[in-house]
This record gives sequence, structure tokens and C-alpha cells, in this order.
Amino acid sequence: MSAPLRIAVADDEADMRDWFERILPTLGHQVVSVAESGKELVEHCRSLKPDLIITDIKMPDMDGIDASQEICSERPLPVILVSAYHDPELIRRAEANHVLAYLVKPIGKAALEPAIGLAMRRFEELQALRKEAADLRQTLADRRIIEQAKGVLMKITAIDERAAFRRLQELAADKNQKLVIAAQSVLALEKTLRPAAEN
Amino acid sequence: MSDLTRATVLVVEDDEDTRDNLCDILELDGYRVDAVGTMAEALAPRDWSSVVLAILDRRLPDGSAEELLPRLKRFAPDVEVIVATGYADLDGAIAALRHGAADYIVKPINPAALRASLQRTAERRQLAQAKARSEAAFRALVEAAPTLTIILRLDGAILYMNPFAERLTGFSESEVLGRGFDAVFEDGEVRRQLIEDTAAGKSSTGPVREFKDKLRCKNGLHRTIVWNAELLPDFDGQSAVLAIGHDVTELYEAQKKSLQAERLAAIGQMMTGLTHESRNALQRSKACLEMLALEVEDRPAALDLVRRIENAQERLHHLYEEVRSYAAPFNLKREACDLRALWCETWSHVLQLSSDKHVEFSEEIDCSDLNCCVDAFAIEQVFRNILENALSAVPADGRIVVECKEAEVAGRPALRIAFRDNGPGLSAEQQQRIFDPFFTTKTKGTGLGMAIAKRIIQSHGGLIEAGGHSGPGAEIVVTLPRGIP
Repeated sequence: MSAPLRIAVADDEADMRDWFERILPTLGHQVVSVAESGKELVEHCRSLKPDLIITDIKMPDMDGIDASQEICSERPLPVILVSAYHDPELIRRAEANHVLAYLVKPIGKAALEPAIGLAMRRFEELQALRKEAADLRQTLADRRIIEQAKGVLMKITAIDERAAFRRLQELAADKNQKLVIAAQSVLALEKTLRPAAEN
Repeated sequence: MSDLTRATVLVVEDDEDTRDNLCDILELDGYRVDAVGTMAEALAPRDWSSVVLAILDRRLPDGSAEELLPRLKRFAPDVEVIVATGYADLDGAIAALRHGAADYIVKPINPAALRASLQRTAERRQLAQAKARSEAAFRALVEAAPTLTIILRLDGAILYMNPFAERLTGFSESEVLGRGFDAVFEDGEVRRQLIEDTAAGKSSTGPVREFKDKLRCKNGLHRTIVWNAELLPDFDGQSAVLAIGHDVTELYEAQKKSLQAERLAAIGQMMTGLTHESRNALQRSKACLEMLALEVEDRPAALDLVRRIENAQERLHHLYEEVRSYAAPFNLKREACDLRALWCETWSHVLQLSSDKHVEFSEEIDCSDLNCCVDAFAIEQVFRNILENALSAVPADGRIVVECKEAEVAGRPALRIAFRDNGPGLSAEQQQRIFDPFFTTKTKGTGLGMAIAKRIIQSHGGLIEAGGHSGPGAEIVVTLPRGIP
């Protein structure tokens, strides 16, 4: 059994809403929102911030795919679709969005349990990858700034690259700053000095 | 006159002067002349094919022109005859004309009169030839036309039937000529329509147009014919009906088939809709049953009933899905695919379902390239159905063999894959019916598996057959065209 989750469900069939409310707790989860339509699901998710969305596709006013897209554009969330339909158009739309599982009705508790576990696991991996990618992007940007600052130090003080890097490290240590902050200060300083030197 | 020049003119004249005179005039005008003096000489063997004209003296020493004419015509039916006669014998000239002479000239021979006569004869001959050519052309047209052309006397007797009608109906013209249309085709209605309505001169409705009916051929089979009929007021001197029939049997069948196909497509679409809706209904009952199971958790007998309903629902769901995949229109996504990889993968899936049997799976491959342009998902379904059947048929120590070799389907390169097992095999009836929808030998099958397989293979332009090999056990042979890569 996966960790207890706060789940938002949506289905236009009352039997299905009852079932989610009844069955999900037996899997150790909490149903925080039960919606009858796409719009209702979007509203509930804004205020209740669930961990997972399980939704039907065809519902009045807004379908499950559009609703989950709107929710995920504000804050990424794992989505499981449950539908009686699986025509290519729906599958294509689901693929283009944050959908982590697509279950074709009829489903039972037995199908729901592994789908939830897998969806959560994949979502965590996806989030970890997203974070890693963002970190890497940041590291790359920092490195570019540090390289530039090193170049400035080498030029001004006529020292070699290793000495320039050591100087930058010392600057950071003195002010108890991150290396990239120290590098940014160097670049800012060089920028203010440059026009004066050229006059 | 060009028609007659450079042709041979036979001159039969006993008077030497007249003969020489004729020869001079004719040779001057460019004819080749063959001149003789008696009837006996005239009928002597010669190359008749070049003789186009004969000038006969009315009175010959050994007979008259009237006697000679028919005998001459026997050798050269197309020869034109001019009779030369004296003033005193105009009656004889008229008699000769009655016997088939084209013209007459009066002796003594006047060159201008002879030339005028030759001119008339040439024109007559040209007209006759043009008429014969035109008749031959029309006859050829009627004989070659791919339509039934029948000419009927007003009493229903067949006067003419063209070769197409002979081929189509199986009756030869000679066996139907003079016989009644009813008697030959055992059909009074068509005859009535063709003759009575046409001949009755129903000026308001006109001749018969686009009248469709079945016609019984000699072999007892019926063809669907669309008739048009026309009254011929003078066909060899009597009124007759010209009936032209178009054979629309194939067209008619194709129309019926396309209607049938449309109907099936509509049913397919309906089934798709129905199964989707049934999924929603089944989902609700499944959901409710699961909730009910929680309510009666402490009552084993009630729980058992819930399980049984769940099983029945499962079965219903399975049945709906099978019917859907049989009836629903599907779009094949064909791409190059290694068939061996496909059946191996399918086999490993199938094997997971039956762990209690030890089955030896072997392959006999007799071709280097196992690639085929197919919808992998659909073909996997075919292989799965075949292998599941084989697996359930074989004994505990079962054997399944897949044999693959090069083949052809409709002249295109193909792969022939035979699946054989050592189970009890298929009876003749089973072989015949295995691809029928809802035919099953299993207690739990829907009987649609092989019907679906057939539909998939056919939509790939391939063939699927049962049996045919001599050994025990069942054999299913799939032949798949390699398709466009």
C-alpha cells in the first residue's frame, strides 16, 4: 500500500462517485474532493490542493482532460483518467497532457490500486527529473558567470587562470557568499569601472 | 469505271466482226479481254476470280444467253453480265435481264452505247458492293456487340440470336432458331413484355425500355437482364421485334453486396456505440458490487453471491468486447515488422496463461526475410487466438510447430505461416466452420476469436485456412502478403 494520499475525484455518475469515496479509503487514501463536472474539479483542486486527481473524461461543461490541464498549468499534479472511451483522439489528447494513467472502464479496486501506485511513483520521478534539469540549467548559467569573472580578474591583475579562480574563492569566503555571487560582484565592479578607464 | 478497268472482260460472241469490234473498243479503254465464240468455250475452266464482266451474245451457236447466264453465275457469282442483242430481239434482251443480266446493248455495237452501258454496270456494281459492305459492317457490329441481340417474330419464334447471346445463355443459334422464346427460356413474362408491348404499338408508352428481369440460361442459372425492344416493321418481309438485352447480373450483385457492406458497417458502428455504453453500465454495476461486498464482508454466503455476479459481469464484458472487435470498423496501421519476433512474443504471453502444461514450441523456418508490412497489434491478436486454441487443444506433453515459408497471394510475394499442434485436430465440419462467428468448441469461448482473426487477415489482403495437412492435430495456415514496406 502506497503512502496515504489526498485524492480529488470526478465522475458524472453518482455510483462512481460513491464508489471512489468508499473504495479509496480501503486503499489507505483520503478523498478530499468529489466533483460531478470538470469545472467543479478545477475549483476544488485550487482550494484543496490534492496529491492526485482521478477523473472521468466525458463530463458536463468541461471534460476531464481539459480540467486536469487547467489544474496542472497552475501546479503540476499526477492525473489518472478513467473512461469508457478510448478512441485515438482522446488518447492523443491524454498523451499531450499530464496524464500518468489511462484506465478503460469497467475497472475495479484491483485495477485502481496498482494504477495509483505507479502514477505516484512516475510522478515523483518526473518531478525529480524536472528539478534535476532545472538545477543543471542553473549550474550551467553560474558556470558561465564564474568563467567571465575569472577572465576579468586575469585581465585586471595579470594572473593566470588558477590564481584567478583561487582569488574568486577567497572573495566568496571573505564575504561568506556563494562563488557565483562573488563572480557577479566582480562583473558588476568591472562594468562600473570600464567607462571610467575608457575616458 | 475504275472499278472495271484492268479487270478481265469475258466476251462471248460468235460473229467474228462484232467480236473484234468489241475487243478493240474494250482494249482501247484499258480492259483485258478474253474473247470466245461459243457457250462451251465460255464455260471452259479459267481464272474466274479476275472476271468481273461478261458480254454475251443473245444467240450463240450452242445456246442462248439465258441458258449461259445461270451457269456462268455459278462459276463467278459476282460477275456482271451485259447482253448484246439485235433490234429484232428486244424480247430476248428483256428475258436476259430477267435472268440476272445487268444491262443490254444493241448490235451493231456503237462504242458510245457500249461505254455508257459499261458505266451503268460499274455504278450498279459499286452500289451493290457498298450495300454489301454496309450490311457486313452492321452484321459484324451486331455479332461483336457485348449485348444480347435477339430478333423475335410476333408469335414469339426466335429469328436471330447473336454470338454474345449464345455465349451468355449457353444455347446455340441453331438450336433455338424458329423455336418459341417461351419454350427456350421457359419464360412467358419477358416474351410478353418484349413482344406484346412493343408490337401492340402502344404509342403512348412507346417501345419497351429498361425492362429488367431474370433470364434462365441453358445451365439452369439465371442472369439479370435489362431489355430494350424495338419494332422492326420489315425484317425479311415480316414484322419482328428487335430485343437488346444488357447483362447486369454482376452489377446487380455488386450493388447488393455494397448495400450489405453498408448495413454491416452501420451495425459495426452501432456495436461500437453499444459497447462503450455497456462499459459505463458495467462499470457502475461493478462499482456497486464492490461496495456491496464491503457491506456484507462478514457474510460469506452473500460474498459468494457477489463474486458470482462479478464473474457473470466479467463474462458479459468480455463478450461485448469481442463482438466490438469483430464488428467495429478498424484502421490498420501497417509497418514493417518481423513476424517471428511477433509470434515468439505472443507465445510467451499465451504461455503465461497455462502453466500446467509442458508444451514444446518449435519453429521450421524456410526463408531468410521474415519482414512483413502489417499492423503488429492486429496480427498479434491473430497469433494469440491461434496459439491459445492450440494450447488448450494439446495434451499435457503438447507440441506446437510454427512453419514459415515464402508464398504468393494474388501474384504478390507473401509469407505462409502454418501453426500445427498435436491435439485432437479438427473434424471436417469444424474445419469448415471454425471461422464462423460464434462457432466454438470450447466451453468458455465466445466463438469470435477465429472470426476476428479471419477479418484481420482478410483486411491485410491475406488468407487464413484450417486443416489441409495430413498428420494428426489441427493446422491453421495464415498467408500474409509482404505489403509495401
